This record gives sequence, structure tokens and C-alpha cells, in this order.
Amino acid sequence: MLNLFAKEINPVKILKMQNLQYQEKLFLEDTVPANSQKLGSVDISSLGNWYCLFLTGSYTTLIANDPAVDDGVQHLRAKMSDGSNNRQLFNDYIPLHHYLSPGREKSSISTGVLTDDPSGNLFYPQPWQYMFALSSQILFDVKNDSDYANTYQVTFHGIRFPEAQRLAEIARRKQLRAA
Amino acid sequence: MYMDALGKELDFLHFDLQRQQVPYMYYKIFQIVVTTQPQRITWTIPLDKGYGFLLRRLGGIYGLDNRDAPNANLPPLVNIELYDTTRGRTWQDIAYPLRLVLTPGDQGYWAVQLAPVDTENFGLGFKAEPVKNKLTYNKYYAYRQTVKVELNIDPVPVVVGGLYIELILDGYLIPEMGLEQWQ
Repeated sequence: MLNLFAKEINPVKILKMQNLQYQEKLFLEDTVPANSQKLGSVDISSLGNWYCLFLTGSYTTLIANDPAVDDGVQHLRAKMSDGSNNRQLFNDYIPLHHYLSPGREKSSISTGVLTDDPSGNLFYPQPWQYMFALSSQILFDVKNDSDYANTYQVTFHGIRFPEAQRLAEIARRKQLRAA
Repeated sequence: MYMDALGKELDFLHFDLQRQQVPYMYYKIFQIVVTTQPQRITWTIPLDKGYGFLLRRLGGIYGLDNRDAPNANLPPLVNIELYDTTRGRTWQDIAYPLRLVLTPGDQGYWAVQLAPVDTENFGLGFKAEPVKNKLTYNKYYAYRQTVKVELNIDPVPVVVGGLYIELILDGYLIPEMGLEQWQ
């Protein structure tokens, strides 16, 4: 008989820990018009700082053809920045297929597919460890070189640290040390 | 338990937003005319002031602009060399094929109309393949060094035309804490 869990799962301990930190995903979805550029953003609320762990995402690859067809070519490239201090996290606009997985997806708008249907893509999250300050934004500036609008979705996977609880915990530990 | 890029446990009660390690991607696209002669391309990246750079992973794809050229189904062999500019030495004995550390494949090339919003993409588009496996490098470039990558393109018996290579250096900018700007 094998015990799957090396340690006992203690709900009380877990709930207490989740007061100070818990997993939270932030989602960004936008459509970039044909031959243009659009700035997408995700708000990091005033609840607390948010630590990003990795990214996943998908996008369409449409070109205009009464009304549109999927040509399988990457038309979107993006530059990510930290909105709190405008610190750029990419040196240039980087095509999305380099870091967003599962990546290319079918669109219901497409009247046909010029290349293979996208399916069964290996899921390969992009590690991206960075602390975003509370009340700031993640900026995702995207360019579209297609003659048709393309949509992208990005999920930022990370951990939220509620600020009020963090300060309370610091005060509590200081009190314990003083005692 | 979460650790930063250098393996130190993160303290989530007390953390420094300004002096934290910053994830960063360097990207470049190269346009080469493949000939019967070997070629070498060097990419040097001066680092941001106040930071070293930990190279975690290298990504890359390539494609030809003429799918009907002779031998187009056998893209030229692209070899890569990385330099330890801190110590003035190389990080391999000889250049090794790009495909032995990542999965470049041949992502093809389609000539598309030059987009008015982006004049640096040479008017081309790569097939949107899924993100592929890459090996982890973990090479550290110290403050004030340059990241230097060299690509060696093997010659081919018959000229196949334009070769486009996209490279991504994915890693972390590590603040050099001894500097005055971080005090």
C-alpha cells in the first residue's frame, strides 16, 4: 500500500497560508485591427502585489479573403512592459509563436484553412518570474501585419499577495520577536 | 517554495520591487543570402546598464524565401557559438548545429505585403508553429559585458536564395548590487 501524500494535508494550515498568498490567474484578450497596433493591458488591482510565474496564450492567423481565411502565418508580434515604471521586458516586438503556447488556434470566422489545422499542440508554458506592483498594469503592445483583424489571448499565471495581510503578518512577527 | 532565477528562496513578506531580477527576451531576425561560400554572422548585445544577464534558454527558427529552389527541402546547416565575453573564451570547442539544442525545424517563409506598422520584418511571415522544446543554458554574462552569439552558415552546392533566421535569448537581467545606482 503506497501513501500518495508524503505529509498530511492540513486544511487549517493551508487556509492560513492562503490568507497571505494564493494562486491567481490574470487574463487578457484583445483583437488587433488589420495593419495596425493596439495596446492591451491587465490591471494589477490594489489588493496586493502579484508575482507572475509563467505565461500561456493563443492567437488567430487570419488574412482577408471574403471575409477571412486562416493562412497559418504569424501576423502578431508584441512587446511587454511593466506599467508601473514603463520597464520594457522585451527588446523588440517579438512574434507570439516564440513564447505563447498552445499558440495558433482556429477561428470560426475563417472560411478555409490554407495550411494544416492547428491541433494537438504541445503545451509549453513560458516561465516568466516577475513581481508586478499593486495598482499597476501589465502592458502588452501588439502589432498586426495582416490585412484582417486577429485576436490573441494571454493568461498570466501567478500568485497574489494581499497587502493588508502581508503588513499584518510583518507586524505580528515583529511583536513575537519583541516579546 | 519559490526561488528566483539564481536559486535563492524568495521572501514574499519583504521583497524589493526595484532591485528584483527582471525577465527579459532579446529577439533578432537575420536575413542571409545562402551561397556556395560559408558565412558567419555575429550578434552582439550590450547589456542594460546596472545589470548582468542570465541566459536561460535559446530559441530559434529559420525559413527560406524560395520554396521551389533546388535543395530547398534541406535547409542549410546553421551552427551556433556562444562566447564568454567576461573571460574572453568560447563556451564550446567548436560551433554546433542549432538543432541540437532547440527545435528550429523549418518554419517556412511566406512573402507578405510589408506592413505599414512594422518596417523591420523584411516583409515576411513565419508559419505559426507551436512553441518547441529548448535546452536550458544557465550562462551568466556579467555587468558591462556583451552577449555575443555567432551563427555559422554552411555552404551549399546550389544557391538557394534568402535564408531568414529568428533568434530569441530568454533569460533574466540580474541587478549588479554593488553599484551605486542600486544603493
